[in-house]
Amino acid sequence: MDKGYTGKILKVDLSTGDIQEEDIPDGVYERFLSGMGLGAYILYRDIPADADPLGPENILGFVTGLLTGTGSLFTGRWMVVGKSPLTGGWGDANCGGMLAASIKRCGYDGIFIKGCSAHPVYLEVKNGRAALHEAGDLWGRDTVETEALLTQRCHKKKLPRVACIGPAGENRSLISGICTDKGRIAARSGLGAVMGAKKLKAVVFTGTRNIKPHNREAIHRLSRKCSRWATFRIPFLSGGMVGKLGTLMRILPTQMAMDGLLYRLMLSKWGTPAMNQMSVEMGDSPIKNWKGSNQDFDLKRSRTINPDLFRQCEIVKYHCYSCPVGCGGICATGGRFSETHKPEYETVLALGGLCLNEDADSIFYLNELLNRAGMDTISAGGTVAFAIECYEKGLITKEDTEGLELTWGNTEAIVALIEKMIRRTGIGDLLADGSKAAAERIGCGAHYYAIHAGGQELPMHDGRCDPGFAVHYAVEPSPGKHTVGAQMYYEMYRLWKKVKSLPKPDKFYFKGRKYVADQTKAVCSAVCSKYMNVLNGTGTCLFGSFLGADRLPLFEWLNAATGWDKTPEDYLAIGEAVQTLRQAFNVKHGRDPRMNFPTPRATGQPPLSAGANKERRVAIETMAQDYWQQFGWDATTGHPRPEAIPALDETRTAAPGDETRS
Amino acid sequence: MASVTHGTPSFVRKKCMACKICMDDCPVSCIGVEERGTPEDPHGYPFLDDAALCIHCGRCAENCPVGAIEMVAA
Repeated sequence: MDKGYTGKILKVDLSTGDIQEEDIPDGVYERFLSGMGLGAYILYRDIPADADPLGPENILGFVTGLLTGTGSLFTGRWMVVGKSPLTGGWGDANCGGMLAASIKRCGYDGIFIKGCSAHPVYLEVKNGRAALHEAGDLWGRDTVETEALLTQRCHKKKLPRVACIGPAGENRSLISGICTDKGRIAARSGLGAVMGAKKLKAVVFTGTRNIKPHNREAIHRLSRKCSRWATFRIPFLSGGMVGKLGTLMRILPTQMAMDGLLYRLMLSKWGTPAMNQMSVEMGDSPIKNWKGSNQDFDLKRSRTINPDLFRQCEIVKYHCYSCPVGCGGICATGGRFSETHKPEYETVLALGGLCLNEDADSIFYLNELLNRAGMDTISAGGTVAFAIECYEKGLITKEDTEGLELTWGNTEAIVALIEKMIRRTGIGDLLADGSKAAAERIGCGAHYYAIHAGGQELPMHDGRCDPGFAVHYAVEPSPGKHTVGAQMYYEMYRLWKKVKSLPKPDKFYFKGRKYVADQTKAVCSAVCSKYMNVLNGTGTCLFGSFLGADRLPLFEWLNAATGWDKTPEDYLAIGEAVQTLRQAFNVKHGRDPRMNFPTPRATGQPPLSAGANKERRVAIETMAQDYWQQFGWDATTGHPRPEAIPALDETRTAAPGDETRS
Repeated sequence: MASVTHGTPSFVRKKCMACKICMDDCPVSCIGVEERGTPEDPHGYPFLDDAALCIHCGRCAENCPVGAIEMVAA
């Protein structure tokens, strides 16, 4: 029976050149789904506890979602998983573009690569066959060049899809990622360095197999209904109005429960840069290495990142595979790169407000430069902001920077510093592994200015504005990521529409309530994590999930794709099992979950004295303990109890999540 | 692969979401997407880029979630 997945993975050993398939029993998909869940199953099982993340024992997995290619919408995300060299624990990075379905069309739900090659190679996977090829001529090239060359080299009838690293991954920068489609990047967790350490320059997928769900007609019916929520537009909103809406949200003492439909409308018009000024105004965006506020980057200073200006240079919307929204964009700029992907909100603020850089041209340039290098723009921006503050405090000198005046908003110096980080020259070598590693080498209290969780630089969503972000930065097995949960995300997921036992948020509430640690918030945070594991198991985009569970028929698509008859509660139990497995991975690898708490400044210790988040503190320890309790883990240590860790008996087809209910 | 239809794809723009499923599903990559949008409609829509490559398999029409592709006589 067709079930939307292939039931096979490909395993490659770069040390020996051995390539073999492994059949994955149906029970594994029923218990963990595909994508992230399949990755957790393989990595927990096969990576030894003491494996060096940059050594041959680490496994790098390219996984695709269960719903990808089935006719469902928003399901074009693929993921890279592995032991992160940045955090030392579970690592994952999510990416869109056009690659996701290609993996499955080659006949696999995932490609898992271990070992290290003695010389640069690339892996070509083609309809159930795979081979390693020399990549000496590609080593040193940027990701756009590499993709173009490999596309030309491997193109017969079907256009191949390429995932590759750039110079940052080759140089084992711990903040490097893996790129596709000329600038989409699986950026987080430093997995580009893992690929570089394996001397694996690229993976090329050429697949033509038809992906067969159990009931395609039912999926299409659901997709047609969903598409109505995803495609209608409103013409009258302007970028300036959105910024002022942020101001209003800051001034009001109350807040409205967010309906993701508004966010979807903004995404359709501007993409994520819709949030550029709005987030600064409402206090969502951290400013000046998390010590500033909207007052340091007010509407006048941030006018250069008005979303309308980004839209003006957009020549066409960019859609990832199976996405009806198209929040990306291809932009024509007058700079060094004639065409470039539109910078995302995270990039704009990490390279903008976080460093007080008002120069939008430099942000476009750096976005392209970092994508070509294969370096995470969030971590790069966070690390530059850290370096500027160290310079301000005298911990880094002009001699160290080889003459760069590393001051707030000095665009020229910021650009030069990032170029050094990419090349690992001068002080760039110190900073290429992120702010935490740099702080350890600098010493003298520099760690106070390195804003990270578990080693990963924090994204551009301030936990002092929405404490839900701070909680997920702290408690996720892959810490410091904004793509899992927040109080606002829970409101937008609208899961109470599908699971009646879940709390329904009030339509209006006083902002002060967000900071009170209580059991309801713990329930909501835990559900966000579980739901995100289902989304990541199916290859679904976070922005699709913002439509709300009553408009995005995720659970119905899953049943139609697989022929299963599971309830939303069953699927959330699967998400819970995956979360426990990922947490168990960290414990197995010696990562103390409490080490992932964000740098104190990011949770209001000490609190800000001005701006939108003035005097805001997050009770992060209490909130984390409440969260761990929701999973039945040890509330003090965050360790899953042994009996809660899903057994990896491959032949079992027990009810999903039953291990974690006891 | 779907049964041979002997038709070639015709794209119904009014229904199309520009989601690129057809382009990516095509086994011979004969479907392209527009590289420029317009101010009124900035999305890049699919089109039959190279009719000579089309193998008339009908997979694009079969897999389009919103029925925006019709197989018509060449």
